Amino acid sequence: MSTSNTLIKALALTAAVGFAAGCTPQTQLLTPGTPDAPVTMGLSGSDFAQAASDAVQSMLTSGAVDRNDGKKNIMVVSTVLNDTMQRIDTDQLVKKIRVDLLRSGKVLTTTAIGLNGAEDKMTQAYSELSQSRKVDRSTVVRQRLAAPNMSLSGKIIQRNNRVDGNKQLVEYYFQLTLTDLSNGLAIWEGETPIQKLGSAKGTSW
Amino acid sequence: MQIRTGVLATAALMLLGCQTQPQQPEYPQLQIGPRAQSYLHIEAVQEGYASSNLLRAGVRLYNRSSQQQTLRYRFSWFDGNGFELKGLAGRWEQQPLRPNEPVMIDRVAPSPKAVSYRIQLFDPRTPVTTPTQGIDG
Repeated sequence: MSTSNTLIKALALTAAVGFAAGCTPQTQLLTPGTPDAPVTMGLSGSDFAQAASDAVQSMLTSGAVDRNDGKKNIMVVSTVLNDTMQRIDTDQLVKKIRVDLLRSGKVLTTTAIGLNGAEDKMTQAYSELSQSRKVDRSTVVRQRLAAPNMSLSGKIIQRNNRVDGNKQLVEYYFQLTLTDLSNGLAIWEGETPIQKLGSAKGTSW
Repeated sequence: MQIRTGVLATAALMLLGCQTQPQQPEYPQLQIGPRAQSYLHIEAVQEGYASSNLLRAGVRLYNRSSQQQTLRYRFSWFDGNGFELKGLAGRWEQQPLRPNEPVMIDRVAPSPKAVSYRIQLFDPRTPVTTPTQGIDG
């Protein structure tokens, strides 16, 4: 009797586990750019890509990054403020801009200089190699860091508004400025607004 | 004899005239999906240079249907060897099209290596059939 009870319990448990596993949504790998990609009220990768693409296209068509002396611009990334209700890393935006500007052949970004110190601490560490006895000094190259001539700064803003009682309009503004460091003047400015309309019950953070 | 020669020459000319010539598409850089083809009217394809040495391409079009449509488009850029150049300028993007409202879509190539381009225009409802139709650049 007890053996059959145990068997029934085991079968019931197996069936329950089987049902639960069957009901779990399958994990999918999404191909970027597919037309049926899910849209979120918060900021997603495609929003950052859109804002970065708009900024780079605008910079290149405006002529702000053109030089007629054959040299390339050296850009330093200043502060890009996250003024949204979400916890986001603004590097999601800045990195895309940097990559595309580098590909354009117009702008190089310094990783040795920044408001919070060097982005790549190895530049500083390398300068100390010449003092080390463990390193063959003939292989150490004398550093001459390139000073930046332009700075990228900006802000991401979020505004939430109720629409028709049960809907919510979430607006994001990607504001960016390119400053000429020789005179402090903004040589390029851009703003990409992204608007999302969805249920007021949903949250955008 | 002269009449026979004349008739033969006329027949030969008529046959030549009926031969189908391989038709060149008006805009070889454009690839338009079947659904988008039904409502798109292409006014012009333009190209030039931006920032002194970056290829810039654009297409001027309008929606000739009576309903609002959404266009899904992508610019692909190729170097001198025919390899595709990656970058944000090669993303799939969407553009709403109101009836009869002219729209200009243009992009700057991601690199000075770009020497040619292709513009894909699709309707979002077109099933993804080709590998390039859903892949971001």
